[in-house]
Amino acid sequence: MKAQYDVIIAGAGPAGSAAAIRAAEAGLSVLLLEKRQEIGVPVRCGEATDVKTPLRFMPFDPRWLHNRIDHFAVYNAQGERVVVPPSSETIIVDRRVFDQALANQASALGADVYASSTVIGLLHDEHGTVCGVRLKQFGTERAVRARLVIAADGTESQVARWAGLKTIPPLADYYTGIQFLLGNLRGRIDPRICEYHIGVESLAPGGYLWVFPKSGDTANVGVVIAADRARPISARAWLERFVARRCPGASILSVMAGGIPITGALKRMTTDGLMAVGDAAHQADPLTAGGIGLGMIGAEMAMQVAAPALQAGDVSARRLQAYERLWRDQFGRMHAALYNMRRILTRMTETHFDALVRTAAAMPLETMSLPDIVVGLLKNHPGLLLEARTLVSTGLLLK
Amino acid sequence: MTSMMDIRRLDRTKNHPDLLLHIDKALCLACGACVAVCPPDALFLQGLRLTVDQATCTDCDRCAAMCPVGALSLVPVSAPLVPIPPSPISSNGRHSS
Ligand SMILES: Cc1cc2nc3c(=O)[nH]c(=O)nc-3n(C[C@H](O)[C@H](O)[C@H](O)COP(=O)(O)OP(=O)(O)OC[C@H]3O[C@@H](n4cnc5c(N)ncnc54)[C@H](O)[C@@H]3O)c2cc1C
Ligand code: SF4
Ligand code: SF4
Repeated sequence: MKAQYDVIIAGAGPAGSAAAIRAAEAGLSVLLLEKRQEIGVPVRCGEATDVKTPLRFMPFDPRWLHNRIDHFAVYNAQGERVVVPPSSETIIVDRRVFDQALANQASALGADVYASSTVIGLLHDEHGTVCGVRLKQFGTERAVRARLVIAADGTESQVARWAGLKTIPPLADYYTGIQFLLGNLRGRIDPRICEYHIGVESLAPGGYLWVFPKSGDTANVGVVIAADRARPISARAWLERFVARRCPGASILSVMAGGIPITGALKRMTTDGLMAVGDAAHQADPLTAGGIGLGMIGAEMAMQVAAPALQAGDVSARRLQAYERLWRDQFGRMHAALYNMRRILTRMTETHFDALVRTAAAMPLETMSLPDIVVGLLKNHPGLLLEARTLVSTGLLLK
Repeated sequence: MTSMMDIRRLDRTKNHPDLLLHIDKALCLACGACVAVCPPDALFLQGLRLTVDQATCTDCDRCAAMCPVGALSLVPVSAPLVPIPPSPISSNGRHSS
């Protein structure tokens, strides 16, 4: 480890490693620090992602691919379903191998990568600009200087908080989730289909359940619920109920949990000498909470702004804010629409949602555009007209 | 044990000075969800161990609502404390510390 780098990145999840890759490619000296003993472990993820985004950062490796998905099936609480093809090619990855492959790619490009190295504080220069980190590695503390620090330390991000970027959203804007890796599922899952189960009253208040098959007989089966509706029944209890019904007798091979902010990206993701990316900047999708690909794209946008800024010797917030504009231009409207869609789904009664799925199931969805689908649904469910404007604009945006 | 908590109570500035955040270590999965929502930054996750700084905690209850397994609760200080049996392994197989 050197005493000084161009860029220091806190956190080697997908966003941090993606930032390290783009920074190293730009010829910058990079230090990538990960608090965990092993990068990617424990896995805290359903592991579903589009395949295109990661492939822009590293070559394909069958070791991180578990499974390819052909269709998504959205179920109501009655077990009726709508089956649609994914809007982009979707895979289930092995996050342990995936995260390590990304970090390894960064190191192959010249980044210094260290696990078991926790960022414990920020260094500031006399003008208050962030100019490095304090870190703890194998029990020893040290300071390392940098021209730019990237906070890629996930939902619990302390680094973004120290820099004054984090806000405290209401609990309604968080999912709380838990997932089992289930085994002994042969014959009970279709390995080509990702299942989503929605039932605001009887399945998962304010959220949804998923079954993401990893192979013919194993799957990530999990739930997220809105954190303001997590009592008296906890996320774990909702998941146990579902598993007992959907696949009784399945074996639980592992358990993981986590929280995800679903606010859409933070308004301020930069300060003098520091940028936040990925979950640390709340970049996950505010409806599904998927954040692997979005975090990587966020990191890429950050470096797209940071590399020339470093070259020009100007890492002021004013200059770095171009990153926030890039993000807003590409994802701002879409995220606002997804956020609204989640709120509509949350407010809708379960009976109403059940009926929607039933109507949609009878429509030839594969041949229809999303706006047509929305109009078709509205015809059958005039009550929805109240929300029509939002839904139609959502449909148009997602097309 | 009780006396130690009483001493800590003295330097806390709380909404409800008679409440303490209790972490059920046997349930906790060390997922960090609670850490992310704590406004005053009173929770710390080091490896698999979650700790709370009772002096900083404001009893806002957000972490307890957030916990996916219900491992957190605000308990009255006066509640009788259940003595923990002296076993090196807790019920989830993790070494208790
Ligand atoms: C239950 C659940 C299911 C999910 N399912 C999906 C899914 O199917 N598909 C999807 O796309 N997304 C999913 N997500 C979201 C996805 O996991 C995250 O959006 C994604 O991991 C974000 O990547 P990141 O790099 O920003 O953060 P992370 O992957 O969280 O990485 C942050 C890293 O920073 C490290 N770190 C933290 N503090 C420090 C420090 N002080 N110093 C050094 N390192 C530090 C952490 O140890 C961690 O490795 C799910 C999330 C949950 C909780
Ligand atoms: S009760 Fe509030 S202040 Fe106390 S630890 Fe929990 S979230 Fe933090
Ligand atoms: S949210 Fe619950 S399970 Fe997760 S670290 Fe906090 S107490 Fe433990």
